[in-house]
Amino acid sequence: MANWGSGGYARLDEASEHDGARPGSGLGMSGAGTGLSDAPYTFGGSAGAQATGMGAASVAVSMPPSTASTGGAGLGAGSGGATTGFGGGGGGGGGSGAGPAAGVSGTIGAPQSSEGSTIGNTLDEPVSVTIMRDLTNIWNKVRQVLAPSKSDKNILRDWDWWGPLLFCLALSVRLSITARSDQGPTVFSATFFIIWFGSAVVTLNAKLLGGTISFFQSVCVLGYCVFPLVAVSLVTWLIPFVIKFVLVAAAFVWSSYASLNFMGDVNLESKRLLAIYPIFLFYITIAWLILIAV
Amino acid sequence: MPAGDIEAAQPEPTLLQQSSHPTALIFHLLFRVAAVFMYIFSGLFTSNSILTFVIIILLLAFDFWTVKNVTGRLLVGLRWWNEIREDGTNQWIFESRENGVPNAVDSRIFWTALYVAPAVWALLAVLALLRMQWGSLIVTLVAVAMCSANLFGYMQCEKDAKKRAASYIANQGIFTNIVGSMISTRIGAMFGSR
Repeated sequence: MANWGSGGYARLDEASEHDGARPGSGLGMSGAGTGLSDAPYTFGGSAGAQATGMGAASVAVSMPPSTASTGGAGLGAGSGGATTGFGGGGGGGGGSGAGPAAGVSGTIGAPQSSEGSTIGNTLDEPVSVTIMRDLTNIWNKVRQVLAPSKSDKNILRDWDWWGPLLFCLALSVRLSITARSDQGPTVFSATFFIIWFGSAVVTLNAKLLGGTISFFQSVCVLGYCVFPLVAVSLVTWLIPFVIKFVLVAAAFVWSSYASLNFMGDVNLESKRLLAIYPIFLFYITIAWLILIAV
Repeated sequence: MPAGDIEAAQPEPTLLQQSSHPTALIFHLLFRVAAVFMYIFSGLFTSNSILTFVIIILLLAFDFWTVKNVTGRLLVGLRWWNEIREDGTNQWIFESRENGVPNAVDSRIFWTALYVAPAVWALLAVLALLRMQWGSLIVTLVAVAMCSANLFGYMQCEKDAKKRAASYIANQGIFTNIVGSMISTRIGAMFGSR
């Protein structure tokens, strides 16, 4: 039975060695248009990787015989025609448009070999690349929240729930620490519950109004945009109430503004107010929790 | 078991020595075992329920990320993810390695852990429900959700890979397939002897 890994001494990051021998593998390092915990890049589907009717696309990672027959140099090295083809556009014509996130596409793609096979780069990328890409992604989203600007939708396409999870835990722990000792667990679970349940309800509202945003994306945005409030909450127990009030109010405006920027184009022009009002309520509730906490 | 029961483990080398990716194998098990361990034995270390909750949730999150993004592709050559289309709908994307059979040990442990973890957490959830421990119930439900998400992702991925392999064989004909498998065997041997 052939193992495609190397021998028993293989390390976790051994894939880098395969990668190094593969044309186009530098792509993984580029870091552009990256995806966190999911969907790093879109690979063009080839003939063998068409979308199915259920909207699932596949990316085949196979070695064309022409590559294999060149043998000696290792995995795909020196195989003239069989270079990797990172065709663009959302996994093989599944209709997920060749959006900006697939910005890598086309530039690296080399002419396909006749086999129509695609060598995906995420299956063999070194673990460090995976980690760095996801960390970069989290950082990009936090930066987008801190300095809201009219962003491209790339950041949103690569949704993840690391931010919501970490900020939610941080705020819950922070509020429970200064709560009365017998109320600690209650404050913790209440905060935790309010953030997740609130995100879900606000998202549901936007979906029911007909917004073109997915559930995952919306929870991602709402969770990341809590960050200003979480940051302020870390210092509110040190300062007098007036300053605290001003800071929390500022953080509330900041959070709301950032989320509105994210949510800017969800095709809700006519019902915009109906969509953003619950967002305000959501952040006001959290701000209120921070304000009344010691 | 979808894959990996073909070869019986030989008695001499340990499982880790038979594995192609021992480190990945360890990390595949590390976080999920640690999470269950923490859930059951946390009372021995601390009475702080909040701390326990946070640690378990973080362990589960690490486990989810590791299994989804790293160990799946290293151990069995599969990867799944979700992408959002322009209109806001989801699209599931499955990657798989077409040539080369995954290491039998890696594959067996990978799938076993994938199936066992949600089952264990479901059992713990039932126990928590019967004892009416609502905090524990929430933790176990989160764990069930995260572990089964990975399980179903990889089950779909495996199904997709098999479907694709079948159509590949149908398209290519038997001759090419035999040549291809001979070549991949050779390459596997090359990597093994490196």
